[in-house]
Amino acid sequence: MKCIVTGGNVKALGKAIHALSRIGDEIYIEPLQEGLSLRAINTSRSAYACFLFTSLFFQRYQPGESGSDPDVGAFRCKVLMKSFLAVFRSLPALEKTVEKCLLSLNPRMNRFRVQLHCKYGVVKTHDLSFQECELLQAVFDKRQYAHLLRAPPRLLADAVVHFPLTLAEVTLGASPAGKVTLRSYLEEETEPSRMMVTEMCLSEEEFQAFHIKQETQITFCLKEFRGFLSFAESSNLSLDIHFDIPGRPAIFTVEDPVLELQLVLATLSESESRLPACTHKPVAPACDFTNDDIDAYMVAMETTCDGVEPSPSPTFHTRCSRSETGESESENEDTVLGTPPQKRFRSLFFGSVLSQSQAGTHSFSSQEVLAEDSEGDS
Amino acid sequence: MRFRAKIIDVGCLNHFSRVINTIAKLAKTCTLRLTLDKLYFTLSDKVANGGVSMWCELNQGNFFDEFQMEGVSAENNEIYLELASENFSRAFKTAQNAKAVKIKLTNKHCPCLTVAVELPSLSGSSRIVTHDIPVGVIPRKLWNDFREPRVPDFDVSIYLPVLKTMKSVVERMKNLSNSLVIQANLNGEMKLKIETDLVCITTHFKELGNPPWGKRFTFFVRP
Repeated sequence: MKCIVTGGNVKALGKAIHALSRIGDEIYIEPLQEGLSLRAINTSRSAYACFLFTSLFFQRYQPGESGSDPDVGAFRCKVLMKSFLAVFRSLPALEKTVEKCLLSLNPRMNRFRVQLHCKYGVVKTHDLSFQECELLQAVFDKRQYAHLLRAPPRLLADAVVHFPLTLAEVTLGASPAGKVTLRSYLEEETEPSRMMVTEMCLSEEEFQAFHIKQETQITFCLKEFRGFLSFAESSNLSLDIHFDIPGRPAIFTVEDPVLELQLVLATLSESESRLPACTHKPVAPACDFTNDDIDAYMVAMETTCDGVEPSPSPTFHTRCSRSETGESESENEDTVLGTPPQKRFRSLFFGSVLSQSQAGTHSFSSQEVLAEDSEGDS
Repeated sequence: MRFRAKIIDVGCLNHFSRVINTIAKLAKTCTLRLTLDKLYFTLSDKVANGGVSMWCELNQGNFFDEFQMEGVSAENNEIYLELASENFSRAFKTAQNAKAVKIKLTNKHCPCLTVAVELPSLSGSSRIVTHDIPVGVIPRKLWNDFREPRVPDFDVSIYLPVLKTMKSVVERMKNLSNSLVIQANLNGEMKLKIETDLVCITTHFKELGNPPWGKRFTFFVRP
């Protein structure tokens, strides 16, 4: 494989690497006939991203070796994210100094070569070691998904900035009535009286397409989503969100003749994301900005002297008895509703890639394999 | 116990955010006391936390366009809440260039101070962000712990120099020593000093003036 990236596309490539670095520790490189595909998957295998740069993106794109048979299966490899990222570390510097970037992959050379041709004839050559690998491919059919939202990535990027960086997961809710909400997802073990809950409400008008058949809530990881958005935002294209029932992966796509971006995020399955009554009492609608009825928000707490307030200290304390029952619950986990799931996200993809030992640790036997086994690929 | 308040003015909102940011820097958790016309952010002296106290008093009329509260009872028409100040400041961080901000006492999964922010959007419809900040409601028997700290008897009182100047001086001194000596007299002079085995640095300030404090310093009161 040999390709040449020039001008502003070098920065775009750099940005893509930055976005992928927020997802996985390794970058999977696959030169396809239609373009160069870069993929990443996170360690818990709940997030997968595939960025395909079509041949239009490059000044020159040659997927195979010159003169090689195009029918022979493509050569795939993976490179450590850390070393690939180091080449594109500083985006402003990349934009300022690099005029041309040359990527070449020669299976016989054992090196993946990235060459940056900078101003004043300076040429920086990075030889990265790679590992041959099998196909990394999440299998899904987005046409089978019931719901679709289309919006400029900017809208979602503006929405997620309101959530704390430490927040792991976010719940996306959409109803046919035309309301879209993003809400902090509290892990079951977190103390509800300690965590701030943030909710963002967006109206249907902000979306370019809004096809919601029934009210749905899905919960997915935020970190990878943020990484994806940071790149999608720079492309100025619209972002499609395909989703279905909780537990089915949500698919985020951006498509263009030059660029095809895909992010697949596992979502918490129904029983797991079902909100336990204690921690998430159905709250008053958050979009109640216009509702000025003060009585609706009355807090009736015993604060008089004669009340038997169990907490002598004014520090935070549990207001619900969850923590006390928590220990007894852990013994009969399977029978008690709402106990923490054994594994919060199902490992949804790449059954074939999972090592035996890893697969053995999964407590559930009915793991759905959504990836094709590529072992027998010829 | 009810509480609801609303800020519309951008200037007031920015000012209020700055106050909260300052408090968040000083104290991890603080007490918010609400009365009919004032808000207080206090940190009471706890030796375990270094013995630092804080007392911040705001006139609600200076910040809020609407302010409604009902305390525990008619004779104790106040509310005392304990909250993580970082949460409060984070909530206000998202309120930059907001059209309006509402603060409400709500009872969701636990007692919460709900900050609802109305943000402008391109399509004309507003985006609403709500933050539910869990709070602890402080029972009335503990209210006495949150009285205004008493200033001890003093011999000298002096106006400080421009804070920016003082800050830059103290920040440099901080790099050289852990403790600082402050000296001041009734002639408007003040010294900031650090002493270590290797170095001794003193910054002198002159003509600062001494504030009048009633009978005790009557000779400083101008007619």
